[in-house]
Amino acid sequence: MSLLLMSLLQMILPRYEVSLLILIIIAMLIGGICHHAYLQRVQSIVKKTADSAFDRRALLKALHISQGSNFNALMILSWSLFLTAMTFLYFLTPDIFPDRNYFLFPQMASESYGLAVFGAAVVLIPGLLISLIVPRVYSYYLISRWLKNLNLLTPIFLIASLFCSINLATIYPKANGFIWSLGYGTLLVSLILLLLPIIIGFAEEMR
Amino acid sequence: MKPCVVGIGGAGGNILKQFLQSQDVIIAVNPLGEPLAYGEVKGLWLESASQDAQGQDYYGNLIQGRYPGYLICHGMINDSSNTRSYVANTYGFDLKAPGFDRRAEYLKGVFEVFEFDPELKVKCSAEFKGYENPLSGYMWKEGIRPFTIIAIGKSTGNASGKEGKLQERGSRNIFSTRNGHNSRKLCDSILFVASLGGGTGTGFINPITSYVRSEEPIFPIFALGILTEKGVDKRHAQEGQRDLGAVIAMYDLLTKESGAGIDGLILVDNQILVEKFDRNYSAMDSCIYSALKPILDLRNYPGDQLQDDSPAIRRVFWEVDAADAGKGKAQENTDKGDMVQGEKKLLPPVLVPCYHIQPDYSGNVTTLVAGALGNAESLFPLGNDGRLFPCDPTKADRALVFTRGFFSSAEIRDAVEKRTGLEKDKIKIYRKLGDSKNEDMLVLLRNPYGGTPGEHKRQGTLEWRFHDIITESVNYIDQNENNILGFQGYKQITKEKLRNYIYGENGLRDELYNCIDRLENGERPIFKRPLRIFGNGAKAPAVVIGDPEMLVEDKARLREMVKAELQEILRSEDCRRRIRDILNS
Repeated sequence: MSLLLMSLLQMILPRYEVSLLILIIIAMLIGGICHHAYLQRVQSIVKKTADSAFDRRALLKALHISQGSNFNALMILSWSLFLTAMTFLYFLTPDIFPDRNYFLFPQMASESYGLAVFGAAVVLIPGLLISLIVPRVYSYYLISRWLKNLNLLTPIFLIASLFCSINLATIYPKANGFIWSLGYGTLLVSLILLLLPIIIGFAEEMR
Repeated sequence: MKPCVVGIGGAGGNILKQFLQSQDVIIAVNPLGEPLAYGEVKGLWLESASQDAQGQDYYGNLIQGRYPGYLICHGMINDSSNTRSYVANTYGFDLKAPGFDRRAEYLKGVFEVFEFDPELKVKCSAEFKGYENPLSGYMWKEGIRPFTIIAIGKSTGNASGKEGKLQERGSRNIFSTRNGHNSRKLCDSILFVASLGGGTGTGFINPITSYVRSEEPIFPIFALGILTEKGVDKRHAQEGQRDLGAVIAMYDLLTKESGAGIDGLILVDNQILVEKFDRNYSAMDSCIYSALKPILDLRNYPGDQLQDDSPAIRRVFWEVDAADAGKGKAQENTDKGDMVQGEKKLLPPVLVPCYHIQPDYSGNVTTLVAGALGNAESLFPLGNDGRLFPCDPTKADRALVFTRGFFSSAEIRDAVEKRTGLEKDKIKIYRKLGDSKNEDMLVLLRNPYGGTPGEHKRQGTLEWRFHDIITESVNYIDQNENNILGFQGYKQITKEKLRNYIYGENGLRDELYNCIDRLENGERPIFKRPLRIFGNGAKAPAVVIGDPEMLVEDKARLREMVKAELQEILRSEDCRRRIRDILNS
């Protein structure tokens, strides 16, 4: 009976790596929702105390604060690395998505700079969006220096994740559960660090 | 408000560090873009003691393009400078003195000789290519101006000779803005931060301001003066000596009319901070910085972006009530010394900062106001509330209220009105969005003194504190003539001029006695008549310097002259009053 149940669950639920990918996507969605809710909350509080009517654009202008060139560059780099690391972890080998992966392009995969080209291709279009959106989103929050400096760890975690993915691609068709978990763990920690300013800002506003 | 914060002297440099703390990620190698401080302020440290500047590693040499940077005020003057030799031989002042320790009159004299002596002006102009004063001109053009919006379209000077070199050095600064490329990032005002202990900080604010005013009559310039604590300081300078320095500095700052000097003097009493923080000087510096953060915060309420730019703040600092000006209120002075061509002189205000911060869940506007201004019954002991200088908030003629948090203007105005008794239109509100953890309030009380005689006896009032330091200064003047006039290598002319300035008829001592009278009578302003050591340039040194041989030959005649002078002094009303005071006491 239990074996039947297990096999049924395996049929319904995706494999655990995909579940973990869903977890990452959910975390990103939560970040987006927090950001939206933060702005809504600030708007409603300010509306109660403002002397005159104002629109959303005026509020965003009022909330805007420079976070510093180093911080902005760090966040653009980190989000770009995050996208690359996530793609590498899930799409570099056919382990998780046999129909969609890097190995389906053998010409590129056999090139000396194939990985770099793949990474650049991943970053190119989303990277442009990231560089436009990311600094603006963070500019609406008062981020402490401690938290900003903590984010210096993000690229380190992400590079570790990339190395794990590259190692998995190198040893393929062999697999290494520990390396994959390490790659995923560092990716998740990085995402939490990247979302932390937004989540903290939202939590403080809701208190 | 986005000021260029100029820390002057040792204390100014330490406090400036707080203002310039990077808000950006700290990267050890090759940081990107411009350094980011709170409120996007910029700043520099002016120092006269090269050894102090070199003995620290926070500031780099501004001339070498480092930021945050220091500027040695006499960096333009060579050891073999003709101007330096002339000033040393004629007046006994050293333009390259490594630090001007606790003698406000020394630096005051150093700067005044450049306005007083036509020959010196010529020498200086020839040597420094257009600079009539190699100290203030250098500090302004090389140090401060490039950080401000008035740098746009202006070079550091002539493109020839020595100035050409200076321009080249200045342009290596890491701020592209120093060449006037990006006006958005430049500062819209200057905030001098200095201790009023009689040293470099005390001496420099006035001359630099005067120099700036010769170019920019309406550019907002504010000063934050920190009155040193009571007792003997770490350098063994007596309280009276430091108080004299503070009084001379405040006197000069507060007697320059609108357009001739600063736009407002924000006063902080270190004695309060010493009691609050038990002589933890870094905590004291941090407290001063925190108190000013609501002014610097750029996150205004939506639609209020322009309300607190520096020109707007400057206008409120100088605002006069039309009704009051017409009526001539009892507490406002109307004597001859206060009038210029039949019009009332506008003198810069004294501003007392009162600050309080609280977690956003722990109180409301009323508790914020109470924390900042204290309770009505408890002006003393000091340090129990947010007043950073002793004063009675009900005496203020304006209140500028800067808040960070979510409050309505009406509730802030009501709470401040209740505590200060000010009419609603005299309470100016500047609201910032702040953060969500804490809410804070800075109230700048304008001229919180005067109106009632005898307030100098009430502990915790501004009159009481001013009375204390002016009395200490007068005592120091009376008991230390040799220390004041016999300093180092003063030449005869300097001694004579200093004697006249301090001990002469209508000199500083007399004026300070008048100030004491005004404080006791509840008059305002306290300081009125500008005083100079070297006059207004009418007399060249050659005319003034006496020949010692001639004095010896004409001793008898001199004695007669002195006798006649003394008799005249003794007959004067002022002298009689003093004798009466002495007899009564």
